[in-house]
Amino acid sequence: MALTYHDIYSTGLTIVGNQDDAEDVIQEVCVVLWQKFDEFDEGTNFRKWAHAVTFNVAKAYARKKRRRRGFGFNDYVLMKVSQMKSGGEELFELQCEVLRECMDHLPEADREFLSACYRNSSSLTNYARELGRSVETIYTKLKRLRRRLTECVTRKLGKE
Amino acid sequence: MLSNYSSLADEVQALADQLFDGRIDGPRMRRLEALIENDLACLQVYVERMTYHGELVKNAEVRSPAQAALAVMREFSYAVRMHERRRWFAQFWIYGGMVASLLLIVGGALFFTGAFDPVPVGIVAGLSDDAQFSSTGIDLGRFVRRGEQITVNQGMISLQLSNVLVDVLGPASIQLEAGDRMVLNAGSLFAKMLPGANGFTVSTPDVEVVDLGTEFYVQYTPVTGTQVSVRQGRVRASLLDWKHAPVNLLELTDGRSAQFQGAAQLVREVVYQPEVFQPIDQSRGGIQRIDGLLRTTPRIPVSLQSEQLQTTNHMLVIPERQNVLLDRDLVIPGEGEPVRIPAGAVISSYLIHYDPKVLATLAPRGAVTFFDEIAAVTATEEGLKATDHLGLPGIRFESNKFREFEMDEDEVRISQDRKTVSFYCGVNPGEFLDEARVIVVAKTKGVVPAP
Repeated sequence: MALTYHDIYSTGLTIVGNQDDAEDVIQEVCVVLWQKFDEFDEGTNFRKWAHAVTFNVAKAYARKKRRRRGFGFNDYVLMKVSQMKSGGEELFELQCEVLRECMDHLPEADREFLSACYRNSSSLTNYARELGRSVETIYTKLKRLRRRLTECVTRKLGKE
Repeated sequence: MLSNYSSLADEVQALADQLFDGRIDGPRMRRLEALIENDLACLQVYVERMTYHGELVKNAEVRSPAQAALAVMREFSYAVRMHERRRWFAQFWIYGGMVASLLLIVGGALFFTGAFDPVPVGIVAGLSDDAQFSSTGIDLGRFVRRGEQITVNQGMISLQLSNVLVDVLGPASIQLEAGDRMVLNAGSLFAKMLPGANGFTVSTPDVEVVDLGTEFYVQYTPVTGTQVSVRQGRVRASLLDWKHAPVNLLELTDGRSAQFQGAAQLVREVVYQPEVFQPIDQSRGGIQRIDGLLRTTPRIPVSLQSEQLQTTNHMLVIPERQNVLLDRDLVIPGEGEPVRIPAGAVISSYLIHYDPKVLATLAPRGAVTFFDEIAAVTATEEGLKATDHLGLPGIRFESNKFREFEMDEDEVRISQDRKTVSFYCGVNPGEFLDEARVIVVAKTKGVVPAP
């Protein structure tokens, strides 16, 4: 279940694209899985079933948000994203492993900063205030760290 | 080329980061959408980037993965406990029920030998998507038994009896007396005898209708009495008196209708109205039987575009244009060689439509059996477009390519006698609009794959 939790979070995030939205989606997914659990056929794969439910909930969420904001991925793109996510599962898992290795090579302070940003993404302004920095400064540093990690992953995967 | 890809990948990553951070605006979102819609490599970069963010969120989690999941698990454990409890009760009732049934059977055999015999007389061969009954457990493929009463609150149920297909249109109530005999207590029904068969009898408080090889309609209300209309063939209708004995006999043939009122001892021919058969033509057409998670629909849809006619945990089979005489060859492209149906053939078209709602939780699968032979099933975008003209007049179809069945996951199979087509949509609930079209040929001569 612990593994499935992170998997469905990652699926939801890929569809809605935003951390806060992904959290909303996961809450809704939990409710739906709870409500529909007796429809789950025990002979089938729970993880696949949970993924399908997650995708449907995330798709509905993305549509609603698209209507509210006036922009967002169309259904065709959402379907392609979903297909890519489920089709490339092993590749993405490998990339995550490499990303974890790259994280381990970051200086302790950078690791803490990165974790704090990802924990506080919905209130980076408050976080910036705590640090006595501007939000833009925080973003600039975040961008730099992301780039370093991306380069590290690319390099390691390239070598392999 | 490589640097071009690299710059696009960088752009996708930057836009994905902005989306993740909640800092993206409309034009940039549209740019991101265009990039990932039109370029597979960009799509992969986007998904990689979001997976990467997901991993960083997971790493930033103060709780361990197990702790993070614990909150969710608490909710699940409750659901599982309830599930187990329900299963235990179900088993208790099943085993208890088996023992009780055994006792009843033994007791019944001792006291009512020969008298207690609720044998199956047919099966449920079709249901409309809006069908509702006063009792539970009525589903496709279920046996219907002698003496059973079925009350249809709304929608339509099709019953395949020994030699007749009966469609009951709700609100209605029927009682099955035998495989060839039925009582209509209220509402209306349509009966279509299988080729070569006859003798099916429908009775109402006013009349007893004996079929002599035909297709007919019976409607009964306590106020207006019984109306019988014959579309094809011949029926013998006997007006009944208060003792339920026949007092007057009328034979009706093609295109004739009559009104019967038992209380007033009244029989009179009335104007034949072919539109009384419209609900059955619209809902069932030439379908003999459906199975699994397929349903018919009594409503003519205006639009079949995405999200306009949604289905939950079932697929719809919609009769389209029927008995069309082809004045030129019809070539239907598909996954393999195209199918060519030559000019002169009489064809009917049926659309399989699946557009799940948000919370679809079952993978739809099912089968449709037709009276005539299937000439072609097309589930590709190209094939659907080439045959959209066989759709109902004025109907709007989806123009985007995601309408086609994803054939790598979904399977469509035609039986050896070419009368049944089965749809199997993988193991997971569906996500988007999927459609396929079945072309049935009344005259099968000369249907060959094109060279």
